[in-house]
Amino acid sequence: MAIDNPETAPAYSKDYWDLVLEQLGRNRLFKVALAILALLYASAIYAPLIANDRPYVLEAIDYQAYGKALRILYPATIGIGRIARQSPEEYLESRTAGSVLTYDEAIANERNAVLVQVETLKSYLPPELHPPLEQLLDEVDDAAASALAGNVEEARDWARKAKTRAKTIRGDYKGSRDEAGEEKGAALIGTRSYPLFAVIGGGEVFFMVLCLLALTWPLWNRGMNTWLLGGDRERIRRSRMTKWVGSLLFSLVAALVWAAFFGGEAAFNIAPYKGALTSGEIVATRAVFPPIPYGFAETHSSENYRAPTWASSAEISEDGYYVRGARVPKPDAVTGFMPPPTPVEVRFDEPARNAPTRHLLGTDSVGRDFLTRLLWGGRVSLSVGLLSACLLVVIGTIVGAIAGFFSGRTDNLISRFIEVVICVPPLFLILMVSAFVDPSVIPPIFSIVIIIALIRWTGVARLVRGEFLGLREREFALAAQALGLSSRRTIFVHILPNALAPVLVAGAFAVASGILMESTLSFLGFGIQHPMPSWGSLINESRMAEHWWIQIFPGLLIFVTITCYNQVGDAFRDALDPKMKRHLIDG
Amino acid sequence: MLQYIVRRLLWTVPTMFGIILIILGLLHAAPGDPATQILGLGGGGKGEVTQEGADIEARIAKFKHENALDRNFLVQYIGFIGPFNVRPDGHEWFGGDGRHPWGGFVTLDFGVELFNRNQAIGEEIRRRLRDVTLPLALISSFLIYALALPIGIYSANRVGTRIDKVTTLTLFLLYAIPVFWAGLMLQLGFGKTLLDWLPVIGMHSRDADQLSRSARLWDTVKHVILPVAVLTYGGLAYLSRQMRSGMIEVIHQDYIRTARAKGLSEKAVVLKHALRNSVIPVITIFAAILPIMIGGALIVETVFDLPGMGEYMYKGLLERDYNVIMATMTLSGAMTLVGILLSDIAYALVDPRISYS
Repeated sequence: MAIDNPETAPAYSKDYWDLVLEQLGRNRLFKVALAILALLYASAIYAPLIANDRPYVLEAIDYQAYGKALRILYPATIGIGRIARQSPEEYLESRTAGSVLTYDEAIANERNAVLVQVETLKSYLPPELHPPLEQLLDEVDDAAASALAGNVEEARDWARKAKTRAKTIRGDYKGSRDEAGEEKGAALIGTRSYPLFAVIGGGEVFFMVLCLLALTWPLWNRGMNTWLLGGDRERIRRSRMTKWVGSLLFSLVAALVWAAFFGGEAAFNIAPYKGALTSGEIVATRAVFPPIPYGFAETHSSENYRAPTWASSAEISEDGYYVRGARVPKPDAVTGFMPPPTPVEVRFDEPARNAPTRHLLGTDSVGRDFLTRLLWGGRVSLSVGLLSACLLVVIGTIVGAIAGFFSGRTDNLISRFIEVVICVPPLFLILMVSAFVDPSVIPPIFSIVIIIALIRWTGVARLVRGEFLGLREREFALAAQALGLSSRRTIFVHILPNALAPVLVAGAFAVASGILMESTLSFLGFGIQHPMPSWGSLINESRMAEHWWIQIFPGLLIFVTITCYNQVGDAFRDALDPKMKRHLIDG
Repeated sequence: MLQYIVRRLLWTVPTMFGIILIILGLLHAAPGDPATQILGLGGGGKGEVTQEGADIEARIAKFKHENALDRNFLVQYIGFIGPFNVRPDGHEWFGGDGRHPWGGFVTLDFGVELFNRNQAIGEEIRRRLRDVTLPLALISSFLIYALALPIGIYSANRVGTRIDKVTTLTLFLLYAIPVFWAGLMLQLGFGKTLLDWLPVIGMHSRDADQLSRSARLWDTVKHVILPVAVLTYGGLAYLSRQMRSGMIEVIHQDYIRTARAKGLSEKAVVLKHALRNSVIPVITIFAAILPIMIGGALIVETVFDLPGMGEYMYKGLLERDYNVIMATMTLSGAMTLVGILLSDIAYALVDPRISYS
């Protein structure tokens, strides 16, 4: 490159990767492809935050939970009384058959049962109503302590007191409700919770943080280079690896911290929040839902196969009949029977019945929002592509390196083997294996990744073998061997880094072909199985031409992803191979 | 040269043994027993179990014995390659009664379907290949070459112009379209929903038998257009790109400059000098297109519901019919092998610069 301006001209020599990055930076299509891929990956990684039926923040009174705690409080205090009036020996004789709890454990159990109810009640009651509950808990504690001390009389006294108090509380503390109000009593206040964040696990946080770091890379990288490394080119160059590893470590620490302190609570596919909010069992003062308020497995049985709601054929009348299009109900010609209507059920915080944004990309066979499923499905498709590419690059590199480095008989054997593998049509082989792998033994995601990698590593292996055949005769490789380094060290430390450029290119194309493979498999019904969505299996939801949105949108996403990866691969090849000068060829 | 070809030919034999070994090995390694699968015990066949009672064990054993599934791996391997039939009615060497001593891949006899014992697999595959898969594959290979070479040459001679850019971009996009999705989109576009121009399912109309000869031909042609289009576009995009870059590489070489310098017309330079050298790698790429065609055939035949070999394989997988799977897999493996072999030989014959010692 000609230096046009002496003031901004770099005062350092450029190494290989500097040149590669510079080449990549000049490729406009590459940048566009990268941006689209970043968008796709970000939307897949953040899918739980974008499309979910759990609210971010919920400030609400759960009348159902409150009522239940209030109902259970009295029986729970009775429970502790029943044990406390027995001596340990009597308890052991009288305990129900099959129970293995000792006296101490039984008492602790009963005490905890009371504690849980008290805490639940306290969370909804204003502080001035807390004292009776605390007194109740004290009495229960006293009863437990006396019982453990062997003081049966005293324990029975405390237990009886607690029982009376619990009864009073049950009478007084009914939760108040509004005008229609069935229950009257103590005025309740909403408690704040974070249902959505509670189910996000450490693994998800890892990728979320990593994705955030990757997206903001230009920012912190520049800052770090100027402030921390003082703009010193040498130090910046040396710290490349540190940045990579640092980002990974940072994400890992964030994930561990998260897993240790916050989320990770086992999640049901279908969260009860929206249903309870709609029916009034939970009354919210504040509920913030994600922009797309649907869960990936949340069904709307009244809206199966509903066309995208901005299309006119999706309009539904108030009774629940379609107004326009093929699904307008007609009375039976002979009997005059009209099919009964199924009114649309609009749950809490969802767009109105005919709002164009209600189901932007329509719904599937059981009325799950298709956009939501596409977002979640991207997690499977994109990760299968990436993981299988990583695995096959590793396998191919190792096999190819061994073949190329040792050459001779080893090489001959491996080459023949590769020839055999190439001759079996990969799609058939993958289909065959995945048709027979039991999804309950190995989860389909992993079996697909492994199968794809095990069958498609041959391309990378041949590439690496070719590179090694050339590199092993070069001076640095001979020097490494002459120094007496082990073959392993020579291969992986000295030769491999010089052979990695073509592998990078092949890797980018491998991701594309992995995604294609997975979607084809899932489309044919052998890959990802219900209810987990993947782009390929979503197309398989319906092959009927009238459900066009189901066939168009997932395929479009697959197509865009593959195009972008192909573009990235092309750009890598152009940038890594100075001889080819492909920019001349590609115009 | 001759020595190279002979050696190359001989190598196909062990390679073929290897291919069969891999397929059979994977079938064995994969969990799930064909006997239980086929007798309906694999999933939800409980009613049958209670009905048959203890007898089921005996039935499974009998089924396995009949199909030689109880023999060890080596015997099954020999039985599949041939020329011995290792089933109970097979060769005496393998404990059979000698009624049908020969069989296996070598004799192109693949046994019968596990489900339908009256259906010989070899015969069924021959029929499907003859009627559907091979004609489609030949038509689309022909189309690929007939279209890709001119497109590549045309594009290469106009590097940097707008038309070249548009062609390159189109080919680039075509190359990334998933085959099954292309099929679905064509069905959507040309089928009843939108344009209603072409039939989208099957090889013939239902009333094809009553049509006159020419009408029936026209009917078949209409049915075949979309599948052929789907089989063609991927290879077309791939080959055109190869042709274009090969041509460009050649055009920049010295001997082309010489040809131009001595005043030859552009047409003569391109068609006589450049084309000959740039077409060599493209011809041999046939080996790379073959797997695309075979894999594509499965998808195209499933999407368009054509009774071809790919669809047979798919059916075999759904029904877990080991014999069908083995036969179709091995045959497609053999076809790929032959394709690679032919291109290697073609390369050796066409390009005198390469020595094979």
